[in-house]
Amino acid sequence: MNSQPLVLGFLAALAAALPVSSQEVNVYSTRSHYGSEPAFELFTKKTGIKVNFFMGNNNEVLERLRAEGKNSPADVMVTVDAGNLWNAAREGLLAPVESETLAKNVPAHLRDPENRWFGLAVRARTIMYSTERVKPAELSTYEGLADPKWKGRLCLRTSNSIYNQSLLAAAIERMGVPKTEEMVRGWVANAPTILDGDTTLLEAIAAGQCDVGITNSYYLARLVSEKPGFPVAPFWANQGKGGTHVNISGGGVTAHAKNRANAIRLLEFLTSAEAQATLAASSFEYPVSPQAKPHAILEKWGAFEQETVGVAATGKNQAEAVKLADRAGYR
Amino acid sequence: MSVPQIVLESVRKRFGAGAAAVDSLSLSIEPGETFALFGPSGCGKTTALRLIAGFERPDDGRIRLGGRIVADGDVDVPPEERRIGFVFQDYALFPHLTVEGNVGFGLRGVGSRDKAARIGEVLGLSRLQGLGHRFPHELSGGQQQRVAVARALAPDFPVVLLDEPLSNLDASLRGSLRAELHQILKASGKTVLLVTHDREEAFEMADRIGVMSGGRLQQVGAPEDLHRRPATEEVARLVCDACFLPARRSGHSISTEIGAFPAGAGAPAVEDVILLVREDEVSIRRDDSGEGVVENRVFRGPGHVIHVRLQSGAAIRCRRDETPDVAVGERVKVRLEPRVIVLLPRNRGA
Amino acid sequence: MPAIGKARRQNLGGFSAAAWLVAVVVAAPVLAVVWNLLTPRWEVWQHLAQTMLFELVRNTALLLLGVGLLAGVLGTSLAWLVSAHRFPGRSFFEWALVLPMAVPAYVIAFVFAGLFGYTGPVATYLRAAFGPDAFFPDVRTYPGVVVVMSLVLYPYVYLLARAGFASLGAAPFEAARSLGSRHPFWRVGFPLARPAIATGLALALMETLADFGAVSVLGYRTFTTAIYRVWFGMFDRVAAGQLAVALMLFAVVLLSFERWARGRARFVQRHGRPATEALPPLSSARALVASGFCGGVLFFAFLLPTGVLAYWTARAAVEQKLPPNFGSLLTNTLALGAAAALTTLAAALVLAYGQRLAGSRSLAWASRIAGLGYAVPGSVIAVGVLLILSGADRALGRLVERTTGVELGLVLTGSALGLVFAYLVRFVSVAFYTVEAGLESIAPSLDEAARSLGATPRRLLSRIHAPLLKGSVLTASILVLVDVMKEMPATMLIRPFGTDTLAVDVWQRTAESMWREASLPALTIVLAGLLPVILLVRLGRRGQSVLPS
Repeated sequence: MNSQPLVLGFLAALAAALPVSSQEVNVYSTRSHYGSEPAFELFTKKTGIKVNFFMGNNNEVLERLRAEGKNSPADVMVTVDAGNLWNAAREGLLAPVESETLAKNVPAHLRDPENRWFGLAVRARTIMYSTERVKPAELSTYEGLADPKWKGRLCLRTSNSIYNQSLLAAAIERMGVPKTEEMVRGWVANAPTILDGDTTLLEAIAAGQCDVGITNSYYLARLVSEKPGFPVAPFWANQGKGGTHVNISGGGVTAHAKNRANAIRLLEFLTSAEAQATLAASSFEYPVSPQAKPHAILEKWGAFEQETVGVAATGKNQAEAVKLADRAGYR
Repeated sequence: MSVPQIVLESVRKRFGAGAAAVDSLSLSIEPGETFALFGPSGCGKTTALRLIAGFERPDDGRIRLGGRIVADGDVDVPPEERRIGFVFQDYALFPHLTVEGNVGFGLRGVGSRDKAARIGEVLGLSRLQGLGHRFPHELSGGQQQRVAVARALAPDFPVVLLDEPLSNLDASLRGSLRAELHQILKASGKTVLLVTHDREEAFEMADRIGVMSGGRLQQVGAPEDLHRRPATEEVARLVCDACFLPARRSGHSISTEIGAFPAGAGAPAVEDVILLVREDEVSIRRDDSGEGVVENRVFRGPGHVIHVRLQSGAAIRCRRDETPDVAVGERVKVRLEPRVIVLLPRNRGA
Repeated sequence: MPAIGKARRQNLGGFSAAAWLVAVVVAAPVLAVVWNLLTPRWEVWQHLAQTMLFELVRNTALLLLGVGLLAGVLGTSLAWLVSAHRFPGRSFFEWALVLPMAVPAYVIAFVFAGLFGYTGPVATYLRAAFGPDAFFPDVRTYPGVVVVMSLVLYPYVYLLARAGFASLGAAPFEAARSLGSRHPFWRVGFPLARPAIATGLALALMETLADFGAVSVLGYRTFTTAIYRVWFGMFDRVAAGQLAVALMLFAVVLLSFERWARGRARFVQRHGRPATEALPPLSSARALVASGFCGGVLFFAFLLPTGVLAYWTARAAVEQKLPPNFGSLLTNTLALGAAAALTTLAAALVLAYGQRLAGSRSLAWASRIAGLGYAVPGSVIAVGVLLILSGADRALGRLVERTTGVELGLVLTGSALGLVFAYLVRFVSVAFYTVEAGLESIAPSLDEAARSLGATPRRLLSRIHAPLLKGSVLTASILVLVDVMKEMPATMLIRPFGTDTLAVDVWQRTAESMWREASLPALTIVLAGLLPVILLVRLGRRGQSVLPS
């Protein structure tokens, strides 16, 4: 018998058993501690590429990348708001990626038109209401919250929050500055309680400090999973009038990535159906990939029309959104 | 002929833009001599001491120790190489070292057994036996002073400098400690230069005294000489218990308000002079036609010191063991019986 | 004999240069930020002027005023009570009232926000007891911010005022009473202790200005929060840097006020009978009120926050929500703290010795400049440090590439070095004042005594200075270490790849309203903060002047 195949087989097995040469990819991430790890572990297990994290908040990561410039060790930037991705791309910190897989996995309105960044998971920022004191029939749109009937019953997160800045930025893209400013002034006229966290806001609604507010979907999902029967429910705003504002957790390959190939592989993996379920479920977000299914709680809330204004707009209009908030007195 | 141990040649030191602290100071101290620099505060004596020790650098002049130049325009030997013991006014004991540690600090290059022996020896000499393990803050003022002296003596340097060594002590202690200090220093045989504003101290401890004022040396001499024949009014003021009377000289006699006296040898060659009037050479007696009026009576055991104001306005003091029978406000006749006539040139403008 | 004089003079020159180098290094980040001013940003300033500039100035000024008043009154009255009167628990309160210093402002802020927020236990209980419209103390208001910050900043005033009163001794008060004065505090105590009180106030207000965490959590908008908003909301780092300069102007005004209020007085150490014997004893009713007052302050400022943190930690442990990376957090924090302590100590020693040897005139400026770092907020320093380091890295990279063709990669930015640099700038004054005080207690005559006994400068340093400075060096190290442990804004911005400290962890979790998870790191910071408090108390007992004079 020819021993060649045996030798080759043995060598191949040996090669496979050998510790993989230190292939790695460096990720600058602004996702908090919860939610992201399992998907990345899956990636390492599958490809043998080690993932190194630098966690920070949006501000730091951007500042870091900017300061490090050409010498940055970052390969991938992952962040929880499209605005930040837009900004990073604008400053040339992210490089375009031509990948059929990514184009297939990520719908067009959830990625950069120039392919510099891609959505990995979707969250909706919509109206949350007290199931005990408010009927869904009373709600319709974000602008509707400016109605005087909500005076003293409205809670809003501070306009310092990037999520609200993106909400306003998308609104500017949809309605223009004057109408958006009118909406915000209307909110302010209703004397909203300004809080500094989405979870705090939801708990405030539950406790009766206010009846309605606007938060991200995953915060409510988290609370509901911990306390079944939590008396707050989401209302999909602006259905038929532009769609509910969505934002992405997304990532892009950095302009000076040293491990570019690994970076692309990581992104492709994270958007694949295999990883999407894990990624989105652990953080209670919606998957970007139309093929994957969301967590049971989210499924129960039903489908909704997503805002089609590309998420890229949120970055473009962010500075204007902040100024608008300042002018309208929205703290 | 032995080389003088400490020599200052026209040394000058100025701080900032004001007058010189030490001005053209020249001095020569013999080995084994105890010399006191005496004068009021601010006269420059401490500066002179610090210049010799090397803590200050002279602007002009030269300093020699044992014949070796230690400071002049080119040379500046640092204090740690001058081999001079220094006793500070505030003692400057090292608070983190015991008495033994302090005393032994300057003993370098000595085997530990020799070191311990020497420390023991010095402690014994300074009556500090048994206190070796104490820390400075556990000692009384007098004990601290003795440690400071012991520390300066232990390394056996040829010269010891003392900056007002007793001024930090209670007056009652001072007397006995002074005698003790004098004995220790004499027994050590070292050249001693001490600085003081206390007259008794200078008189008791020094072989020679240099009187300083305004940064300059006014007079140098043995205590008796200074006392008997002060060269200037300043010296007289500092050294003697005396007052001054203006006098006129004509030929071999001088005339004053209270009488005429022979001028004596060595009198200044001018007409206007000042006569030194020692307190214990004055006697007074009640007399309605006297030249003076009693202004004050101050008790200074065993007798009183009587302050008398003369016609011209000059003030005289009279001190006797037995108080004369006069009251304040009474007229008295003043009589002077000088043992030695001391005349000084009158150089005052006023 | 060799010419020694020139060598001695050269030595001094070297020290002088080293001290100035330290001053320049410390001033560099601030200068880098100020340099930003040269780039005009009219549009942003116009927007700010139209929308919130007035509010910012007003808010910042009001905050300083409010905290200044409340912390000042609290600190002074407590110090006066404790120094000049007798009441039950006085000797306990004397040192215990310093404890709140261990709690960073952002920690007490989030604890109180959690406790006293609408959804917190206090308000929930009040609503259950008194109905849904029951009043509850809302901490996210102006009075709330003032109270929260004053509770942890009054110890600065307290410590210094107490030292001031204690150093007066009984004599001035007895004299005043013998002359018929019935208000010894206003006529005697306060005027004499005024310089100490002013200094304590200045320190407390400096901390207020620099604070970012507490005002954010409590929703109070100041220049500091505006800096962040402009920087990250409007993507305008330059304008943010310009706002930072405006913030520093406030600090300069503060410092000038402190100098003026202090006058030309200096701390004087007086011995004699303590002031507690000088005044008539309090009636038992009044004495109880005094104890109650002290106890109340101590409760709200220290016992309550620490207790709540301990409780939350216990709950987190039970619910298995303790941060799994606590061990590495602790190690990172300690390592950074140690590195910072060493660096600042070295710099402080250079400054202090330079001042001692080369004469204070010229180097007083160097020390003053170095000391300004304490007044500059951590976030501002962080920006400056980033600017400098990235510039240096680029220059270095270019140089190396040109000479060796090797691409260097990042050396300085993102290294622990950058962070230690920022800590140096921020905390060198703490180390300096401590070391300077220690050095001042070594009389020059000790130096001269040692040298007259044959000690070379090296022996002088090792046998005399080193043992005598041990205490100050240790104190300075501990103070810097704990300050680093508490520092948050700068650490957040420039820490190395994946290195979180306890403070950063606390902040990140509270930003997500994860109070329970943040409790263990926060509790650790508070416990660590007890160390310098204990030190300060012991130093105060030994009658030494404690904080900068």
